[in-house]
Amino acid sequence: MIKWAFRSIMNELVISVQHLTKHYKVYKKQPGLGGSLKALFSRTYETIKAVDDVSFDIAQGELIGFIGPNGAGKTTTLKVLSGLLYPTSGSVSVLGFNPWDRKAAFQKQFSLVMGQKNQLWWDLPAIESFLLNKAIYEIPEKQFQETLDKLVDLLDVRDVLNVQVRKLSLGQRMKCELIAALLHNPKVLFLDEPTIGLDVMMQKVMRDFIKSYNKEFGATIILTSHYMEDVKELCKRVVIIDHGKKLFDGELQGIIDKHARNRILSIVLSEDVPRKKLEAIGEIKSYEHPQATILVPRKEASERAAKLLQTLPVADITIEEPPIEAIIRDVFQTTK
Amino acid sequence: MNTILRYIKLWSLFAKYELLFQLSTHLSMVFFFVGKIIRFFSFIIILLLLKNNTNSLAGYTINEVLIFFLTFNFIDLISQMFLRGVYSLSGKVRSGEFDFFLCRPVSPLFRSLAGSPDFNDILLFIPLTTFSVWYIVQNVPVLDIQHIFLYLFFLCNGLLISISFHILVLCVGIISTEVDNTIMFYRDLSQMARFPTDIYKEPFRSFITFVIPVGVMMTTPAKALLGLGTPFMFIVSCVISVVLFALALKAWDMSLKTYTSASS
Amino acid sequence: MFSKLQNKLNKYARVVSATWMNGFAYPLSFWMWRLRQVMSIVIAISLWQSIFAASSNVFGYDQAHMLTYIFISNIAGFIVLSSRTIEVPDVITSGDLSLYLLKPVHFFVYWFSRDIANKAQNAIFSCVELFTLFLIYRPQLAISTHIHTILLAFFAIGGGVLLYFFINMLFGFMAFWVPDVWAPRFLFFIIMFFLSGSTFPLDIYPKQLVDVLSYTPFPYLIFFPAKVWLEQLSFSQIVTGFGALLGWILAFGILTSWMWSRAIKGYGADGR
Repeated sequence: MIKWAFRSIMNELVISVQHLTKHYKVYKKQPGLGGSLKALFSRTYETIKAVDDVSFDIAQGELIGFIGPNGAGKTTTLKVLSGLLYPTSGSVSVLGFNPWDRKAAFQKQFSLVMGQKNQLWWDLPAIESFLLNKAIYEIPEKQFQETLDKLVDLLDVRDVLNVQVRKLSLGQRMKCELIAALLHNPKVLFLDEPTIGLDVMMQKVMRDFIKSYNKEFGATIILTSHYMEDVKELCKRVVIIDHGKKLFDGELQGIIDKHARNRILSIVLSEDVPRKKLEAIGEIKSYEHPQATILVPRKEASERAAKLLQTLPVADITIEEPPIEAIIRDVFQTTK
Repeated sequence: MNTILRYIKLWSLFAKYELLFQLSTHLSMVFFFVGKIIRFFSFIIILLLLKNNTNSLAGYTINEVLIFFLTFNFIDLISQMFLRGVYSLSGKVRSGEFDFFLCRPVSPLFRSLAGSPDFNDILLFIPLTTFSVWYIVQNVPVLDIQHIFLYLFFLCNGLLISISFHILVLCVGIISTEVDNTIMFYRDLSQMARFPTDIYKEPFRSFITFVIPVGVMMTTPAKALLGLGTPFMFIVSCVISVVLFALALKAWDMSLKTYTSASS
Repeated sequence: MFSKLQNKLNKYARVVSATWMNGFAYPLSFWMWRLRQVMSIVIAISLWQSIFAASSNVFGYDQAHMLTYIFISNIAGFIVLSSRTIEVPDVITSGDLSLYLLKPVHFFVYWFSRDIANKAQNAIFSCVELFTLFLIYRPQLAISTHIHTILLAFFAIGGGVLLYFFINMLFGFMAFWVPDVWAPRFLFFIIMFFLSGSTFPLDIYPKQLVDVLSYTPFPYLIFFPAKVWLEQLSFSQIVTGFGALLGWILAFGILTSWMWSRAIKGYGADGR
C-alpha cells in the first residue's frame, strides 16, 4: 500500500489494478421441455473466470492498448475500472477513487465509450444531448463552449449539430457520440472497440482524433480493439489479455522481440531455381517464380540471407518481421 | 387449389414455430392467458352488475348488450389469433427482415398478416366460445336456421372488414414506421364497438359506421342474430366490407411501391 | 451550497426539457396518442349517458355525479397514469443501463423527471381535450372549488403519482431477473383497469369487494383522489385513505430501493 502510494506520487499513477479477479456464475439449462421443468427446481451453474488475477499500473498521459480475442476479458476489465462491475477480488484504483463507489467526483473525471452503445437521444438534435450532459456533469458555461468548439472543429461536425441524430450517417453519429463523451474533459478515457463497424476512412479519422486528444488534453487512455491497425498506430504500450489472464505488458516492439520466432525473407530471383535449393535456406512460404518468401529463424536471419545471396541468383531481397497479427495469433495459440 | 393447399401447409408451419416459441416462454403465456380471462369475465360481471341496476342501454336489454359484447369478443379474438403478425411489422421493417419477405416466393401480404398466429388466444378461444354459445342459446329469443345463418354470415363479413383494417395498418407500417400507435388506435376504435354503437352520439356514430366501419364489423352480426337488422343494413354492410377489402389490397400494392428499405 | 443545489436541479430540469421535446418528435404518433385519450373518454361518457337515459339512478349515482366522476377521474388519470418509466425494462435488458451508471445521475430521480415531463404534456393537452368534450356534451357537472378540497385532491394526486412511479420501477427492475416483463405487466394493467377507478367508480362493486380492495394499492391511484375531490368522503375516511396511500408509497419505495441495490451488485453489464 505504502509502496504503491510512493510510486503513485513519483510517477503520477492514475490507474492501479492489483490482482483483479471477476467471476461470473452462468446457469446451465438443459434443452427441451423436460429441462425447462427441471430448471424450476434446481439449477446447475458453472463459474466463468472473465478476469483472472490481472495486475497493471498506468501513469498519467499514457495511451495503452488492450488486445485479446473475443471473450478475453478486455471489456470486463474496463467495466470494472468504470465502476459498472463489482470485482470478485482484488483492488482497483482510478484517479485515487474506488470506481465501485461511483462517487460523482469520480464520474466527472472519466469517460467510457463503448463502440456500439448510443447515449445520444435518437429523436433530438445532438446539441440537446450535449446540453443535457453539460447539466449532468455540471460543466460551467465557458468551459462547455470552449470544449465543444474544439471538439466540433476537430471532428468537423458543426453543420450536423442541429440535425436529429436518427437522420445522421453512422460516421457522423459516432463523432457526435464521441463529443458527448468528452464534453466534461475527462482525465481518463476508456475506449471499448471504438472503430468497430466503421469504414476505412472513419477508422483513420477516429485514430487521428484519439492521438490528438491524448496530446492536446493529456488524457490517460485505455483502448481495446481487435484491429491491430488501431494498436499499431496509437499505442506504444500494449497489454495482451486472453482467457482472463494477462499474457504480456510492455512495448509493442517487445512482443515482436519475445514472440516472433521467424523473420521473412522476400526475394525476387533473376533465374529459375529448383525448390530444393530454396528449402536449404529455410521454410518456403510461397514460391511463384520470380518471387519467393522464405521463413528463417530470427537469430539466423542475417546469416541465411547472406548464404542466399552467395549461392543463388537473387535480384532483390527484403528482410521483414512477420505481421504483428500473426505474432499475436501465435501468442494466443500457445497459451490455450 | 394447389396454391391454397400450399398456403395452408405454410401456415401450419408458421403456427408450429410460433407454438414452440411461445412454449419456451411458458410463464409469460400463463400471465397473458390469465389476464385475458380476467378481462373477459370482468366485463361480463360488470354488465351483470349493471343488470341489477337498470334494464336497458340505448334501447337494448342488458342481455342483448351482453350478446353484442360476446360477438365483439369473438371477432376480436379471431382477428388477434390469426392476424397478430401486424404488430411485429414495424420491427421487421426496421431490422430488414421484411426485405426477405419480399424476395421469397410467398405472398408478403400473407406472411406479414398471418405469419405469427397467437396460440395463447387459441387456448382462450375454447372457454370463451363455449361460454358465448351457451349464453346465446339461453338468451336469444328466436334461434332458427335463418338467424344462425345470418349471424355466421355477418361474422365472416366482420372478419373480412377486420382483415382489411389490418392490411391498411400494414400499409402504414411500410410507409412510415409509426405502425405502433396506428394499430393501438385501430384497437381502441374497435373497443368502441364493445357495446352497441347506438350509444354514441353523432358524429361519432356515423364515423364508426361509415368512415371506419368497426360498427358494421361488430354490431351487424349481433343485430342479425337478435332479429334487429334490416335488409338495407345488411346490404350496406356487405358493400362496405367488399369495398374496404378492395381498397385495402390496392393500398397494399401502392405502399409496396413506395417502400424504402432500412439502411445500416 | 445553494449553487450546488441549483446545479442538481438544473441537471434534472434538463432531463425534463429533453423528454418534453422528445415527446413531440413524432407528430403523427403524438396526435394518435391524443386521439386515443379522447376516444377513451368518449366511450365512457357515451356509455353512461345511455345508461342514465333509461334509469335516473344507477349504482347510487345520478347522471350529473357519474359524469363528474368521469371527468375528475380522467383528470387524475392523465396525471397519475402517464409515464415514461415503462421504458425501464428495455433499458435494463438492452444493457443501456451502463450508460446511466457511468454518469453522476440518480437513476430514480432521472426517471421521475422524465415522468414529470410526460405528465405535464398529458395534463396540458388533456385540459384542452376535456374542455372541448365538455363543450360537445355539455354535461351537468358538480365539481368542487373549495380551496381545502382542491388542496387535498392535489396531495392525493401527488401521492398517486409517486405510488404509480414506484410500481412502474418495480416492474422495471424485474427485468434484472426475469427476461419478459411485459406479461406480468399486462396482467397488472388489466387488473388496474377494473380496480383503480379509472373507467368507473369502484362503488359499482359490492361493498365487500370494495372493502377488500381498500387493502390493496389499486384504489389509491385514481379512485381515492377522485373521491377526495368530489367531497364524497368523510373526514375519517380521508385520514385513513391518506394513511394507506402513504403506507403503500413507503412499501413500494423501500422495495424498489432494495431491488435496485441488490441488482446493481450482481449486475453483469452485458449487452454490447
